[in-house]
Amino acid sequence: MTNQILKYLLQLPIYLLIQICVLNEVLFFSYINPYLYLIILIVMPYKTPKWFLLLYAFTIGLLLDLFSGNLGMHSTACLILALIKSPVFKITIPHNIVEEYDELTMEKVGVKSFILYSMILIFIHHAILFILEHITLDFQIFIKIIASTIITTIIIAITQLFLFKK
Amino acid sequence: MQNLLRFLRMYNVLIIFLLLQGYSINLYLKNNTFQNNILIEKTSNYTGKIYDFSNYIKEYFQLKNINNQLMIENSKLHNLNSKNKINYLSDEKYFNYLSAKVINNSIFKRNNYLTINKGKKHGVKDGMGVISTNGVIGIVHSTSENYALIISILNKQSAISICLKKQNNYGSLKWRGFNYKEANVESIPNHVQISSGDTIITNGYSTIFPSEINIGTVKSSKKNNKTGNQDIIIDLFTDFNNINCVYVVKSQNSQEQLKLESFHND
Repeated sequence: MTNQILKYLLQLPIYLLIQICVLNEVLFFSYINPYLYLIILIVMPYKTPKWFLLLYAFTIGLLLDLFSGNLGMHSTACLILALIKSPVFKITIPHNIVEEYDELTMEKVGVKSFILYSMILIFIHHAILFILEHITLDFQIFIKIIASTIITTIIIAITQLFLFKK
Repeated sequence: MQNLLRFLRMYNVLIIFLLLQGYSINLYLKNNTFQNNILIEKTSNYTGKIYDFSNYIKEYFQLKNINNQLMIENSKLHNLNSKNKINYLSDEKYFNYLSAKVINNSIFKRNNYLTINKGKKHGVKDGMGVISTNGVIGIVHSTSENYALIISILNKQSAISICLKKQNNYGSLKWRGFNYKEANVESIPNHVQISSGDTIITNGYSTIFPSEINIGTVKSSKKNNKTGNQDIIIDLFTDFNNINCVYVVKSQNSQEQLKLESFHND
């Protein structure tokens, strides 16, 4: 497990740089911003120590916040994502498909259940993030949450195809 | 001890989560002024009602004070009235005053706000000035339908432009916290002669306040060679611990002046 923890610590700056330098500049339809960095939190094995997951989610959220200048938004959303990760895992992914210390990749879990699993997590993350950002609950925000969820899910799925191909 | 350890081990995830979440929400609330403003604007209608009610009860105990204030003010107005007949045709900026009651007030925090019982419905807008009979109170920060929130002088964010009554030197008023009877004046250069007891008033440049509204008297001034500006401490005329009636200043020509000045600033 310590190996995996080290690996995630090394991955953090890479995803952070991609997010900040590339993806934050990309805006689909002028207001949808994909958040690729969620892929690390989503892919982490089911049996990762909870304290590590929480601290990791908080750190990555805080770093993103520091770069975007709005402190507290990403870290709040990421922490909640980390908290609800295991319940969502239990609901969406069939038993005995993955080993406890395996990464939850699309290949191992299966396309359908992976997309369902990641979509629920991303939806909750985006909902919290955008509501904190705009402090309103109207139709426009709802559309933004849905559209961003779809785009982020697609981008995460594509990244999975590239990264974990044998 | 044993139980405590067991408790910690059982709920360690929850505890870590709550600690981190609390910290990030704290960061969020502290650093995002835009979101905070929206929240305050939305909730001030409800908080205002509660303050209104508590003030409704408190009012009876202050009737005597209010009476006194009104009497003093009446006499002032009489004086003004007689003076005004002479310079009837003066071309000063034209101001309207709207009286309002303070329903909530704080003085001991670093950033103090007041709530008054007049809002959008009565024509109060963001950025209007607020004065009392004794002097300047602050500037309207946000308004709801029936209430308005005012940044008082006793706030980190407030900076009111002032001038000396004797010499017409301009500076700005800042509050450093701690004492609600004193404030500081900044950016008056070293060479200006200031003696304690000098009166400080608002200058008439801004559209927020009319000119020559009293603010306070100089308590002490010290030359500061590092910045080139004097460190001045003043006594405020207004007793912020005891304000009941205030006036919202509506400037008639402010739109015109701002429009003209915006060309210049571009």
